[in-house]
Amino acid sequence: MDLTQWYAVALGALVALLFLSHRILLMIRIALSYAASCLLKRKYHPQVHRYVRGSEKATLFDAGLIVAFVVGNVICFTLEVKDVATLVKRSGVICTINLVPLALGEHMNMVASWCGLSLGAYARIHEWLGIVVIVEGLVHTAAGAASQKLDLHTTSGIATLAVSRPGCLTSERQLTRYFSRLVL
Amino acid sequence: MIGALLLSSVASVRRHLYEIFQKLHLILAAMLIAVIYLHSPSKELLASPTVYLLAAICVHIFTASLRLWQILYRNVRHRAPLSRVTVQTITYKTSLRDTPLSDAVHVHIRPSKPWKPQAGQYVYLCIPGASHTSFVQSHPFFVAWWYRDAEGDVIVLIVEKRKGFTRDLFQHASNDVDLRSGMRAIVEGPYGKELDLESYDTVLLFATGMGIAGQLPYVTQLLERYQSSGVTNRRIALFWELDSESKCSQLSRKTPANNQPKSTRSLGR
Repeated sequence: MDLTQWYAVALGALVALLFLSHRILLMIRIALSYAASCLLKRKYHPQVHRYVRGSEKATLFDAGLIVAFVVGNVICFTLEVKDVATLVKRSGVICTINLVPLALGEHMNMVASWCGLSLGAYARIHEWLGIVVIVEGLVHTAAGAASQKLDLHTTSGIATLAVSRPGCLTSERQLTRYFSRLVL
Repeated sequence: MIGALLLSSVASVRRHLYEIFQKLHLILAAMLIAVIYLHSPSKELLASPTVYLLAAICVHIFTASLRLWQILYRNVRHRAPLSRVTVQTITYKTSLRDTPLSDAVHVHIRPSKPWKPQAGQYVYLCIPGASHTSFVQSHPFFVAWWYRDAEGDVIVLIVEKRKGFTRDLFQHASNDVDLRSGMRAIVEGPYGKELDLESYDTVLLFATGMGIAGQLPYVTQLLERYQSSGVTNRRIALFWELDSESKCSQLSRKTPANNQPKSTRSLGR
């Protein structure tokens, strides 16, 4: 097709759009309204089965968000991780990234109100973020300890020990060794 | 530190030692960020992972500043530096005698900068004069109803007697509502979002005990809108579970003379 034919087609499309625009907009509006209604009815309002959620209130939408967040973390955590050193680095960085939304937790009411979220849903998101950060932090510490990279003569090494909890160290003897180094 | 954060966030600890948990949680979170910074291999601010720590700190500072601005905006005004609060005893009236309720009070607040109250809203209330430690405490309460008197808008909260701050409030309870001589208070909010109930034919509301404070504004608002703009609700049913009949008096509205509560007018239609 040459340029004039393209012009003719474009002009025809414009005229068609002009005549059909009202109906197209109406159809889009109906389709969006139907989609929104389906989303509200099937995902946003229904509660998760009580055997799963316990006494808490959690809608399918909340559960979907949490599952997507956890699955996303697991994928980022495991993808292309071939050795312990990569695991240490990856878990540390992802844990730190997760701290950013976690920092919004102090002013939960304000953020939830402004975003139009229910406070319960926001509190649950904060809780899950916290759990994932803790798990990642512990994995980071355990992997770091397993790779024997903990040097308690440096500030960084002492900070590693401070971040972790003693329970995740591999053995009581190792714990004693670390503390004796710390004291010395 | 992560372990301490985890332990301090356990539900039973939060429930029993909320004030301590809240402060400790913040301190531990700040310490965690500091320790992660010391631990991170790169100390360059714009390099990973330090840049994420910087982002977390910036997010925190931004939201804290917004909150501070909101508190100042809501409470600081020329010649009315803080909101005024009066704690009013609720009286259960029978034909034989009047009995004051021992487990709930009404708190009347005249905000320095009033807003248009809506159903589903709650505010955080801090009354520095309530006790020695109350200046560091801020507690959430639903706005139960509101009215206007000669000097401006007043919002009313229903407060149940529990431990700590709410128990201290009872020491300031009186039968009169005199907001001029009331205690100074810091009101934070309003927060919360209103549920859109106007498009439903039938609205069923459920409340247990003090939960009525959250449901009552919906009834008020739906009735008001039914009269003014003809919303489609045909039936509004409120189910309220109570321990005793005397708790009904939580909704008794005693306001200064000549001040008719807005919600009473609408309910009476």
